[in-house]
Amino acid sequence: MTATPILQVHNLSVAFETPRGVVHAVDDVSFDVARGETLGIVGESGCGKTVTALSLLKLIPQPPGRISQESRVLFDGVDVLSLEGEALRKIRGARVAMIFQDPVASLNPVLTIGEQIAETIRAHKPVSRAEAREQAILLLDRVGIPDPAHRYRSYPHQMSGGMLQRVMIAIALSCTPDVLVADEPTTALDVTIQAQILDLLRGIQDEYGMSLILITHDLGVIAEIADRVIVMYAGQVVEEAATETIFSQPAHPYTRGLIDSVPRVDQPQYQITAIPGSVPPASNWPSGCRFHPRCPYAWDRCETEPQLERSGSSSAVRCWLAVDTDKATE
Amino acid sequence: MKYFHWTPAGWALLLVIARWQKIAEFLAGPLENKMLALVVLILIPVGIIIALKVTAIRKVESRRLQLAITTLMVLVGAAAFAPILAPYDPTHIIDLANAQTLAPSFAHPLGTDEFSRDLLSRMIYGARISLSIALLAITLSITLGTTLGMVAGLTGGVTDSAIMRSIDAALAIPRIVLLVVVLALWDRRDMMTIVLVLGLTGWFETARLARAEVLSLRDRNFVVAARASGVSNVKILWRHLLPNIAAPLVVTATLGVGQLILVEAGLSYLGLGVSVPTASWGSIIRDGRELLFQAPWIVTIPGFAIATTVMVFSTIGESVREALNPR
Amino acid sequence: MSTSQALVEVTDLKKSFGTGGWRDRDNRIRAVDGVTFSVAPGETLGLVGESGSGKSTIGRCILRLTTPDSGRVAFDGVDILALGSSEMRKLRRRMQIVFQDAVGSLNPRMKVGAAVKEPIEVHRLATKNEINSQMLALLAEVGLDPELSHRYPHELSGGQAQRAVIARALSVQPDFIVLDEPVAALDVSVQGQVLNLLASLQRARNLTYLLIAHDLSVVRHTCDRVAVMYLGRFVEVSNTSDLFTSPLHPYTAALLSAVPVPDPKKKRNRIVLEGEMPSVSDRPSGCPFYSRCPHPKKNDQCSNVAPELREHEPGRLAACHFAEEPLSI
Ligand SMILES: Nc1ncnc2c1ncn2[C@@H]1O[C@H](COP(=O)(O)OP(=O)(O)OP(=O)(O)O)[C@@H](O)[C@H]1O
Ligand SMILES: Nc1ncnc2c1ncn2[C@@H]1O[C@H](COP(=O)(O)OP(=O)(O)OP(=O)(O)O)[C@@H](O)[C@H]1O
Ligand code: SF4
Ligand SMILES: [Mg+2]
Ligand SMILES: [Mg+2]
Repeated sequence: MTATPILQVHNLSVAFETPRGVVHAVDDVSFDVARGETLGIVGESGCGKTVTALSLLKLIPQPPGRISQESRVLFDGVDVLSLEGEALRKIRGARVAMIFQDPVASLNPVLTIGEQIAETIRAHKPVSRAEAREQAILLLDRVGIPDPAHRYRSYPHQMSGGMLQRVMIAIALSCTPDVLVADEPTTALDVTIQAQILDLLRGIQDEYGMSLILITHDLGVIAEIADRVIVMYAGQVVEEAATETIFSQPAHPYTRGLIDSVPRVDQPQYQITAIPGSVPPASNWPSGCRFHPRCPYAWDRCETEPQLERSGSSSAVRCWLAVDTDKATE
Repeated sequence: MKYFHWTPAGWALLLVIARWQKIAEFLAGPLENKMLALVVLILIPVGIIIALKVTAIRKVESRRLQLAITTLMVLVGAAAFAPILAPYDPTHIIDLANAQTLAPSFAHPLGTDEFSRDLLSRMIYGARISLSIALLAITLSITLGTTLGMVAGLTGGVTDSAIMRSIDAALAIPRIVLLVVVLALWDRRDMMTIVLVLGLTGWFETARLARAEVLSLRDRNFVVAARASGVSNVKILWRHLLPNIAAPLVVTATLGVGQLILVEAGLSYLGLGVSVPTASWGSIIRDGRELLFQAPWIVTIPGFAIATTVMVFSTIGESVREALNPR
Repeated sequence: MSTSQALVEVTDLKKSFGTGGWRDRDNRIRAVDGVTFSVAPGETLGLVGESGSGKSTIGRCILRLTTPDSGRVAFDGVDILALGSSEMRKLRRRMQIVFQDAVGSLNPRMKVGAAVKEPIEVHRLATKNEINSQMLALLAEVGLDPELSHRYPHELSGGQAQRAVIARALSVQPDFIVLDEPVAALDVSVQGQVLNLLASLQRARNLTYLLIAHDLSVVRHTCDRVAVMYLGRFVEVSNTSDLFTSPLHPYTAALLSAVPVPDPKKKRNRIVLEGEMPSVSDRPSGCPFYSRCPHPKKNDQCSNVAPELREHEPGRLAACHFAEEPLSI
């Protein structure tokens, strides 16, 4: 793609001051998102996916959070992290929208869902109450909520998790954003509902030509929907590649381990090759390569920290194996 | 040992040296006194240590808390070693012929009352009565309330309804009215009676709290898992539920002691307190109320002692509560 | 399936819950509505279905943690619903449960070692001197450092806590364990470890499992037979390999095709179901799946007559009028 990416993240680092010390939640993360592209971010619990997503809109509470000086989040060429007040509000929700894993927590329990959609519309567009209401009903219909005019008056507790996630998507769509960030949108849902929501996301993305950043820990979801993937481990990007490549030739040992450690529904499998150990706590990342205590290939060079090495326009690996070709062939 | 101050320990040592004669007397004296001193001396620090452990309050760094605990230790020490510390016999009338109220002086640091009884000695012995009534009554009401509340919460059904409805009924009557009526109708008013009456009218709120806590824990998986392993109901109550609800109960207990001291003082003031030769703080105030202007120290000194004690216990209670929700 | 061999035998189990007041007898949630199955010794039976379909309720009824309304649960030939409470406590030694929320299934004020020791003490399975060494051996068996026995549950990672819970379940040397979503809350890379652990324990101790899961890939990996639940009933029961390659019931087919596969090149026939599972309190009169069924031939018979769970092939049961013409996936 030759056009400039709609979103560029450069050297994003986020730390939190906690009573137990500084937590380096996200460390030197960089990536681009092209217009209309779906970028998947995959990683295990605590690896910094949500913090990365929140930083894109400067939603990290500061303090205790601290976004480093070098961090840049360029949306359409403008550094979001340097914006304040009204300028920031114009981007949040209107041009970059976000949905979360737990829709119940993101909705106000004492307002009807319709009012909440209309409220978002009116916050960004100069329309009347009645117009906002009409648009809200259209949106509810678009995200597949049956009988939208009636459902407009429902309260969040009267709807199922899947329905609420549709409502969240409707709110996100209300200002036709350029980028939609979805943080584990289907993790809390049943598979059949997950399939519906993923279909819906794909559909609206085509229709609106948005870019989608989809965060998940489920490799299956990534395979299904993403064009390009970044794999995060311990606050860092460890690998970036086109979806097909990630699954056919995973370059980083962690990516390979992750793919081998999930059982497959489409083929029998008698032994899972699990990654030993567990994800280290964010307050205490291992030194050197952060994966080396769990890595089956680790050797003495892994005690020093590898850099994210780019090869070609869309792939990168943070692993000494990718540098040390002799070792790799062993 | 962060809460322990060495200065008071030094003073204690000086005291031991200065009053060794009294100590010898005390040791030779009635067994009852020695037992009481021993019990108080062991129970209180153990109680505090348990309270601190249970609530993990070790994290709380607060000068107020340190001060409160030191003051409590001084009070408890005074009560326990009254025979050693008190310069006079609290009931001894120094000069029967011309009994009079003496202002504080070197011989009587806090003065005397109208029968020229030494006020310091009366205060020290009074601490025994006031503190032991409050502590015994709170132990009774917390035990009762916790047991009944937990049983109600765990069993549910008819038992639960019966216990909770009786509590609702009992709570509909203001406590002080209940106390005054009961004590006015009673002709015996020794210490045990007062403790029983205070304890038996004080457990309702604790029972409610214990029940609510048990209800919120009852269906948690660790309780279900214990039941699935064949652990009996009694053991579930004792090993799984009690430790998890102990912290809020400790808070209630500490705050409750302060309250009870006030209630007991109130009752004594109304003439419904303990009728023994040695007075509690409340009855010292009652005795001195007619001399409020001639001898203000008789009323103010026990008043100050009561206020301090209540403050000590509420400070400890509040600190425990704070430690429980760090935000 | 000769019945004399079964370790656990459940017959026409029903359980409903009130929705609030004691007067709404007609408005009860029929969480489990007549299920019959058995589990053979050493076997793993999987139980899958959407949230709220009644899986956990079955697991709890089998252990008599909730009392079913009707039906029979036999464990090793003994009708456990007829047992007195002290006999039941003795029998609890042979059946255990592991929950999804591992940290929450451990008493927050009890150290891990004490938690593992408790069932041994309750059932007096070892002398005072042996208890400690038994506990350490159990921790070693589930791959936990003995050092961890002095920790409190909140000081463990999710995977470690789940291993501790498994150690506690094993401490009474049970024959049968209900695994209620044992890996659902764990990190992806740790799920595999725990699944491998469960499999090796099963081999070493000849355990029988009832595995409740919503993740079909976990079920395929672990189970010998699978029962698929919908609205409190079984819609299909089958051996694992047949179920995953050629499901008989349209719901099973839809469920399978909805699972995202970590292979972008795999092209599949996707069946996306409309709508959501109806509320358990207003169950339709005909086939419970009728409202969402994607089967092209569904008709009035489906909406009026509830299909029976019948054997269509040896060892393969399905409750669908068109089970002979299954959807392809
Ligand atoms: N407000 C905060 N204060 C302190 N630490 C925080 C805060 N928010 C996040 N963290 C820490 O940052 C790290 C990354 O968290 P993040 O929520 O991004 O993980 P994640 O990849 O989204 O995980 P999950 O899959 O569990 O959602 C975690 O270790 C977390 O404890
Ligand atoms: N104690 C209870 N009181 C009232 N209703 C209950 C109770 N336990 C379960 N239910 C209801 O019974 C139905 C089945 O619940 P169950 O927990 O068995 O489902 P499940 O299949 O295990 O779901 P999940 O995948 O969400 O764990 C649900 O509708 C639930 O709301
Ligand atoms: S450098 Fe070594 S440890 Fe790090 S990822 Fe590569 S192989 Fe693994
Ligand atoms: Mg997250
Ligand atoms: Mg369940």
